[in-house]
Amino acid sequence: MSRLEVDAAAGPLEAPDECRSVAFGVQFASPFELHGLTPIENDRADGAPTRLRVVSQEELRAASADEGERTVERRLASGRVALTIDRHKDWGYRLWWMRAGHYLVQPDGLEVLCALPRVGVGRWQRYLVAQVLPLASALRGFEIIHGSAVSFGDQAVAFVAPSGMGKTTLAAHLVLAGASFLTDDALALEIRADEVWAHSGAGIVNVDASDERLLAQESVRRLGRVVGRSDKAHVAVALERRALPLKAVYFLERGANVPTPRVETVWPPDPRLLLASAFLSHLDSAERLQNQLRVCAALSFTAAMHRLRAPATTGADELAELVSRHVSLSVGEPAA
Amino acid sequence: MTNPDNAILDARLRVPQQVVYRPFAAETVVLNLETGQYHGLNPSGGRMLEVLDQSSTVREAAVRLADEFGVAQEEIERDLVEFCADLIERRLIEVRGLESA
Repeated sequence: MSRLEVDAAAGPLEAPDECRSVAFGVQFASPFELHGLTPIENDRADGAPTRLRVVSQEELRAASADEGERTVERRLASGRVALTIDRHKDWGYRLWWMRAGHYLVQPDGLEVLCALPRVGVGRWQRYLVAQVLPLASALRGFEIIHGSAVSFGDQAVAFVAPSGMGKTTLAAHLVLAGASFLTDDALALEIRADEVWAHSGAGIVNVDASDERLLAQESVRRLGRVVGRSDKAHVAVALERRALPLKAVYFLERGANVPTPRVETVWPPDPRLLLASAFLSHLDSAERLQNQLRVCAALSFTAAMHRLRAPATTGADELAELVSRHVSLSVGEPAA
Repeated sequence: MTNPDNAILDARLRVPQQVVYRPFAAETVVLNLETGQYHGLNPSGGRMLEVLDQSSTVREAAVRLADEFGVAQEEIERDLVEFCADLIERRLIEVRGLESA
């Protein structure tokens, strides 16, 4: 993996006071800025924040001394372990990613201990924001699905697909076309008054090398500011700050056996598609599964479901144009 | 009806704590939290489960459903007996007071 380079203009690691920010429906209080999150005033009364504390590895190990259950272990091609997640009913969830640090998330999601690595800020920030914070949000009662999302006017639209299918690029093109960005990979949902509401994640779009070529340099500049590079370009984008009702879910299928890209409405709504869109599949507690069932059931009534099917050769710009037209006709908001 | 069928009709049943269900737009999804298995019920089956869950006995549920579906009670009773047998096999309901035939 290439050396991570961090744009010095991305900001200091430590701010003088506690930083308050919000993402995935949760307010976070941290001793450092969280990249891409929406900062808020300290006196905003939105419930207790999830607190992040920087600790040593020894302190984190002591706090999770009892043996836990390994729920996730991923290895490199060499066989070396690159990522682990362990859980225990008392100490919660312990996450480790190679060169991105150790994190301990309490069972109720109200505290996260961070044993940070001695590497560039960008790498561990990326893992913290993309994996650890969504877990804290899920433990606090939000349902997290694996998808990107944008908003058109006052309504949110989500794109669900496995990794590598182009959710991010599609969302980026829609932002270039005038939609507002909600999230890149993890979408936090909650039920409010019989509707399912979507919360913004982090305002960072991770564009891989081929995506960046598709987007072209000028487009990347229009999208936002490059704040870091790894195997991807990490672009800070303007974020939709409001939680919005989720009115449509598109299930993206690239390489589909269709001659031209098309949108096919899924009716009746297929529960399996929704239930299979979970972001944190290792989180299988009774509470989480019940919440997931509750939110997905509500979505089947309140959001339109569509398959967005396209040959592998379809460009993201063409897909974005198709989605914009479809949204303007079905969701009712004019596409820019 | 056979004696085993009558036994089911007079049995008290409950949806155990580890079984949860939610109506989706076109089907009801039932989840057994212990096994992690999901089951799908068509709209009629979903409604049957809901009424069974709210009733003291299967026969009581049959009375309600016959009125709701506008069919003869005997017909609903036959359907419910078969439905309950399926749910019991899938460990989605527990029946009390059911003597072995």
